[in-house]
Amino acid sequence: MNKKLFTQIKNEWHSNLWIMAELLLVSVIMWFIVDYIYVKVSIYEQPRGFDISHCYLLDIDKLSEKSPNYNANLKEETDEVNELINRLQRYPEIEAVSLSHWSYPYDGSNSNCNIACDTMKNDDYIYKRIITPDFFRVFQYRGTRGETPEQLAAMLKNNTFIASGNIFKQKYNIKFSSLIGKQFHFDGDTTTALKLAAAYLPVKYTDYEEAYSAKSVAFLLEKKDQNSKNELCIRVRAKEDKNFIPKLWKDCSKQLRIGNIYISQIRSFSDIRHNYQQIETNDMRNYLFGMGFLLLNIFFGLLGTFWFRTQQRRGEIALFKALGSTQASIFIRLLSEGILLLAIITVPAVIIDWNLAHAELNQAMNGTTLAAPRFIFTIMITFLLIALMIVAGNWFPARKAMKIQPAEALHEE
Amino acid sequence: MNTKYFKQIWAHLRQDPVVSIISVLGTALSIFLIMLVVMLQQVKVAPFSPESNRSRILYAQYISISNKKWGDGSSNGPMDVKIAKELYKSLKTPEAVTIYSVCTIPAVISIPNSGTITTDALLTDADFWHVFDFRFIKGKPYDQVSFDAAIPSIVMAESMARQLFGNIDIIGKNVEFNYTSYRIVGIVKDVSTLASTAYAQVWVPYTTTSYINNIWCEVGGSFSTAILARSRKDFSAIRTECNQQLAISNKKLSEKGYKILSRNRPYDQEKKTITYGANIEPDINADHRQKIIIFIILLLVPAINLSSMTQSRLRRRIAEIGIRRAFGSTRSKLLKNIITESFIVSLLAGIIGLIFCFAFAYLGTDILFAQPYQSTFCQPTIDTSILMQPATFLYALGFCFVLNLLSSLIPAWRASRINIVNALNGKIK
Amino acid sequence: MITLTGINKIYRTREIETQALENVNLEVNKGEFLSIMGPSGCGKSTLLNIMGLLDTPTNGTITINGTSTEKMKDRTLAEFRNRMIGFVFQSFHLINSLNVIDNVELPLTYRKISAKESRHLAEEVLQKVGLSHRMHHMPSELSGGQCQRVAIARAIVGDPEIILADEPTGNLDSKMGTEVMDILHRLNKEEGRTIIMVTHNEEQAKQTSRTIRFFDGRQVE
Repeated sequence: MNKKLFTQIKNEWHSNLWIMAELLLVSVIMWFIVDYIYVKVSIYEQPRGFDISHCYLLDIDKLSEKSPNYNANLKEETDEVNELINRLQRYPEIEAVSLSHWSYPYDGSNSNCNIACDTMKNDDYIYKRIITPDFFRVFQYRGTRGETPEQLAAMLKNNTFIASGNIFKQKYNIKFSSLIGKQFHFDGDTTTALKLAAAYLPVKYTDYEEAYSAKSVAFLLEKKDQNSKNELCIRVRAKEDKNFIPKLWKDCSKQLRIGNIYISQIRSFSDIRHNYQQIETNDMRNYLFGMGFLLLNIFFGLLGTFWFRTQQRRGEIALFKALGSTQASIFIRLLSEGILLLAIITVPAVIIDWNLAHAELNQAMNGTTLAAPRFIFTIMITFLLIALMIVAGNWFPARKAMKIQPAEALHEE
Repeated sequence: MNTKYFKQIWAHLRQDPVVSIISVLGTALSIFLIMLVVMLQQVKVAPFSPESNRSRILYAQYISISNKKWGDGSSNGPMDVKIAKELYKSLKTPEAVTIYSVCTIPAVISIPNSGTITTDALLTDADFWHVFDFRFIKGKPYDQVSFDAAIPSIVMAESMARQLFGNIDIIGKNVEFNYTSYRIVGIVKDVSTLASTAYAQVWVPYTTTSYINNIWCEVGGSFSTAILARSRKDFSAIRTECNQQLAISNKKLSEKGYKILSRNRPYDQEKKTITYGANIEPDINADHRQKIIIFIILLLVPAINLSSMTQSRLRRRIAEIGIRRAFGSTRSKLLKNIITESFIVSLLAGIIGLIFCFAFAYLGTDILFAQPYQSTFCQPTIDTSILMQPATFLYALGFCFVLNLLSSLIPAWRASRINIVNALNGKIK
Repeated sequence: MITLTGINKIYRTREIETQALENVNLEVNKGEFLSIMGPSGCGKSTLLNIMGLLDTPTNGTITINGTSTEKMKDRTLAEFRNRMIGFVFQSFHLINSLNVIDNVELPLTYRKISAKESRHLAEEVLQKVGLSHRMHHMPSELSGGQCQRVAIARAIVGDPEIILADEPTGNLDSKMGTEVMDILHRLNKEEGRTIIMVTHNEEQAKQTSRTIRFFDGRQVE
């Protein structure tokens, strides 16, 4: 039966050419989309290295000099900011409070620094985080040697620094924690040096950027450098997080107004994250729409073509039945025709896909665009999705074919 | 003649209902998706209040600074008011130039005996109201005089006004804006977040705040500039003037070792919408290429489908084609007839697709129009003036035409070439 | 009026070559009613198709009213088919999605005349074949004989000099067949049109002015 199927496909090659052209085009585009989604999902699933649940960002603002409430005697805000932190720490509902500069997760702004230890130095971009020790407790960073956030917080002093464990991994293939205790220089400045106190598990810059490429170092934000331009982050105890924030907001206009400082906004990190990653969400949406569109087209296209074919072949199908074919075998034969066409174009499709991946036109993950397990998996998923659509599109015409009454059909012929 | 055409088209469609429905749905689906893509692009560049002048505006959102000591490194971000005035306010060619905060700022607003709420505030100058066409329901904007005198005035969006006071007869009343008393001078119709530059819930003169004191790297600050040209034709003249000004400013800065990198600023609306970092000049050509590829895919895949279905449908009418040729129709007339008939069907399907598109845009506003990198959590709002631009309909028509041509040309051409005798006998060769 | 010289028609497929017509020479005079007879598959329909410019001979020439059709382009051929020739087929070949009068008007849609005038001409011609009362019916609502009469009306609406009929009564019973033949004879005698008819029917052939016979692609009489 299959051999005859092949022969039949060959004989009808002209009309099958259309279908195969479309299947080939759709197959390649689908693979591209499937691969994209695979990469995005895989990266998303990688551990973030931080936790933002029940965390909030408090925007600190300063009264305008032109405001009648402005106290010109309080030039330096350091004391007020310190007092604000103290007052916040006194809330039993708040677990931890931190100040930082360009360091919180899902922050669009960042700065970098270069580090060197003996002869080793970095070539790539290392994010520079300036934080108070409790930052580790707010965002639950963990050490590569199992250190808890509290332990990491205790180790950050003005003569030490803490960094992510993936620095130097690609370049020198060493565990960064092996350099704990050594002295490092920064940005080419050989006069000041800091000791590496610990390494933390890599922290992703966003959910969609790999931990593999997110390297950072954390320095202490000393009390004397703290001002109203810093970022104020708090972690609220999970059990208390139900109605705490509105209550905190009410206090913002009263006891949390200190000198010229006040809090202008409280944002939850899940909202910040949602906003910051909108572009990725948009991209994902676009690709999913595209995928749905292609699948629907396959469905429609096959439905139309095979519907027409069933009508054209009424006589032939009737003949098969008259010669003893069962309804089921006719049904399956018609379904297999579509799948066989897909199987034929899969070979050139895979070749094209391989070339696209080789030419690095798709997304990179773990430093490469072409990895065997990923490639095989995405090809299989693509095949399955399109095959599903083919079966769905063929179903109705095949059922119609199977119900043909032989005598009637042959009489019409 | 025309009714006969339509009667025939209807009869032909009825001949093969399944294939006809699939063809119509397939076309409608394609037009639906294509127009969705078109709309997504349009909301970013099409004019609507208060950004009705988008086609005439050039934007200098950021400034890029390098220093002799930094090597290749640069610092990029919004600019300081002083350099904005030097580089852009000084220009002679434009109609107006406005300086405003790079993004909305969370501000605390309250009235006595009520709680404070956070609002999205934009700090602007007086020219802002010239460049952007807000619809004032009550009052008017703060003018140059009160701006220069730093008189605390505030313009409010209607919904914010109602949220605070319950009504909009509040001109002359006071609100606490960041714990300072401001006088309400105007109420405007709400602005959609899709108006990415002008959006805010309240607007105040920046002279009443201390934001201009945030200076970094000599010329960096917290502000952006928008230049309103008299017409698009002035753009090159404005750019030339900008470069001249830049050269002058850089000469002064070189004493301190700084240099402003132009990155070919200012940008027009289209280029501005694809700006994702202050440190990279957006590549319009790459963006266009990507869009063209998307449109080609969106047109090609359904065209192949529809082509094979048109082919099937034509086969049913093969005898008719033979008759027409036997009685004097030329090949080209036949070709024209088939394509025109096919176009009418695509047009009807396209209208269905377009209606679905509009419906989806209204119902799925959050899914479709949420802007990346917003500082506000306000959801985008869409109204007819934004969606139903004349250009939208022209695009839809154009795509219907192209899709139709792609899908019916080859089958029609082949049908017109069939040997008459074979056609009459129902043979396709 | 129509002159065929050395006409050959060979059908070629990948494996088989069939000679449908072999060296046919024929002259048809103005006002003649010619019948072509012969067994199935002898090439008579092929001959008619070639004379009606629906098919091209493998070699040989066709001359209509002194003009050779050999080098004619599609546009000229179409015009010839429209103005000089009216075809009547065995299986009527009416367009099912158009009503009677629209079917009859079809040839006129390829001429530059007004809708009013073409409708007038169609109505006139329908009256001639006795079907004015069925003007707005669809072909599916007519009997076989009525369909053939509509086809004849369509064939003559453009006032062609030549009518080619391929077994016009082949799908009709004897009564309807006689009606159709009556109309054809009227068109020939009263309006002086040249008619060339392919037929199986000996009786019908006898009533025409000349009969030629074919066998295996060659004229035998």
